[in-house]
Amino acid sequence: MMSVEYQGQTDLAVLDELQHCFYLNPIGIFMIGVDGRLRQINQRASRIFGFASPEEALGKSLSQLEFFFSPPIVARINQLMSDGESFKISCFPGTNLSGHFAHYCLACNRSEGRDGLPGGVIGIIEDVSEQVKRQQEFKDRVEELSILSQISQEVSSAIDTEEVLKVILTGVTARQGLGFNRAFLFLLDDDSRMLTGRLAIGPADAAEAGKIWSSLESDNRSLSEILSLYQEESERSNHSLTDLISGIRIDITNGSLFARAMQERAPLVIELETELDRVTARILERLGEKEVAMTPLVTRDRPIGLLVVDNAITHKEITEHDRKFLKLIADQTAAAVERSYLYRDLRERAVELERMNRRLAETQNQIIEAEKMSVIGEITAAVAHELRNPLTIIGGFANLMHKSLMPDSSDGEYLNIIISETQRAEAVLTDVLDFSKASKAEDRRLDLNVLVRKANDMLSVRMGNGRGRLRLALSEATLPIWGNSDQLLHACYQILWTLVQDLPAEVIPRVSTYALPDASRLEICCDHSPRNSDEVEKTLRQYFGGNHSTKRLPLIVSEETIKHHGGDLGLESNPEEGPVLFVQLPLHKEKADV
Amino acid sequence: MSKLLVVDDETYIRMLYKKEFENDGYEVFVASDSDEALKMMEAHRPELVILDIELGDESGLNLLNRLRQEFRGCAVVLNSAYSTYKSDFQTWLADAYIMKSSDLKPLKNKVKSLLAEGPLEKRKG
Repeated sequence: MMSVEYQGQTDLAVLDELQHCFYLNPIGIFMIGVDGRLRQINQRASRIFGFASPEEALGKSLSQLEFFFSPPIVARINQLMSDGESFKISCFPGTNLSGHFAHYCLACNRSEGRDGLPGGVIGIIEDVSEQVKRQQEFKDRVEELSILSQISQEVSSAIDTEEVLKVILTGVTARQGLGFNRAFLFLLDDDSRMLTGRLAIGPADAAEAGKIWSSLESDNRSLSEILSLYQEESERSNHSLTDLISGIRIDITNGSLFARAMQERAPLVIELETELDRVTARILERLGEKEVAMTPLVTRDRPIGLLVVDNAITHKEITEHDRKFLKLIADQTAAAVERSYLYRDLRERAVELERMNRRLAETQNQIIEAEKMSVIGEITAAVAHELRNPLTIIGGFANLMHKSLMPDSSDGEYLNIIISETQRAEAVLTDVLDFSKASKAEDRRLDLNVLVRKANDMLSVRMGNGRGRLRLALSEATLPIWGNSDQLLHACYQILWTLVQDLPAEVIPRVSTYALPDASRLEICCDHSPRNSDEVEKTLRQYFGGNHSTKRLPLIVSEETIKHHGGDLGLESNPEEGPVLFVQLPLHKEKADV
Repeated sequence: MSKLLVVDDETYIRMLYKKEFENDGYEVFVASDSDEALKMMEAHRPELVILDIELGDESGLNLLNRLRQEFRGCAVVLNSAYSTYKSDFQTWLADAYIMKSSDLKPLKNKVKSLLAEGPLEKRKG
């Protein structure tokens, strides 16, 4: 032993003092001799290794310490003996002789003897479990904040409520973040005041959890990547966690624990010993978990939903810290949900405004059309009235003159022509006046079949003796159209009357009706013999072939009426039946009153 | 001989009706407006009036009201180029409503039948 003198003290006294310091040093110190055995060890080091006292540890070989030092560490120590290269291992896990697991820090240097030869290895060992724990906690907090920040970013760009909810729930269950196993979201229905199960995120069972979590652990994934992973997994799985809560409706006034959390607007934890009401017990039974934490989503002092989480797979305790963080997430969720609701309302209003603008434009067009028709009606009425007086006078005096003529007067023929043409002009005026009267009726839902039957009845009356000149083949189903019943009846009647008047007497027009996908259609074709087919075709083409100049005034008005109602009138060629006159009106699809 | 009064602002209508009804054996007076018509009523006390509704700027329906109040026994046939007045309840005060036409038969038939029924008091029974 070397001779030591310090401030007049003897060697031995100093040595005793140093030895005392060594043994009682709060840092674990040990020395391994060149033979690989423990030569010196203080109390702290022996306790770290798990020995009852330094004496028990002395003499133990490195191989006997392998319960503590892993083979690589033993190899490093042996290496140090030979090459003298110091090393430090900041943190390694180890289990000591008494089975205590901890994290340790080890620093080793080679000592040299007086002869300059290697004297062994001096090691300093310390239990750094507390620091590791702190570091882990710090890391967890950073990850939590990171998740919170990512949730914030994701929901700030998400406007769809469903998307917002998925982001939030994924954040709640992301393992690097809060790491709850499952999260369930119930939203409050404003009308019924019932909480309704809306969305759930998390693995369906332990196997799925293992798959997802191991995948998540392999690298540091972002929230959106985790979201995609959950999405893929849930698409692969036959079992959806959301199915578990869909259909659950909780009355928030029924006094259950769920209702209480909503009413009190405060987080609530249900533990094993919590006394459960019937509703809560049934819901937990459905979720298959007895311990859950729930926190209401409150926005602008109004509860809008409830976030429920559990650790059904790991059964990890829900700590106070978890609850606080859950509350933080819930507040953010509430704001995001509220914003998505506002956006949804805004979008609905925008759609509604667009629809109203469209309707306004349509209505404006209809008003213009209606005004146009009204003006046509007024003009025709005014013209008709102005013409009726002169016609009465002309025809009246012609009659008078005719009566006073001598029977053999040649002027009689001319007077007859004046009288008959005056009467024809009066008949046209009557038809036009009927139209102007019709333009005053209101639009409503109509049946094309009913209009055709009425027009046919009017035709029979006009022709006298109730004689029918049409063969009706009307569809059995109602053919709903929308419009002015008087105008459309007048139009149908005029079309049929024009045909009946001018077709050869032996020709019986066949009138059929049927429904098209978007229209109700009336078709008129004529059963005629080859003898008069030219005449029939000429009549139809003359009035309905598209040339206005050949049409009679009431027929022009009829065509305008059909077009005013969004319909069409025309002539088509049918190889079997010859020319077919058609009238088509838009099908009325709303279930309005007839 | 039954007396008729034709009230119409159209000269030729008045002329036509006067000729036609005189040919049928009636004594016919004509007036172009309400004032003239009331004077004729006072002066000749016709049993029936053929009354146009649109009398220039005035309405024949006002005259109809006065005829009903002041000449209760007189029958009135409204004769107009307008069918729309049929829905005006004021026209219901008249005994008949006949549309103007070159064919005077409907008007003549109505005049004949109303006169056959006698004065209003008798017609109402």
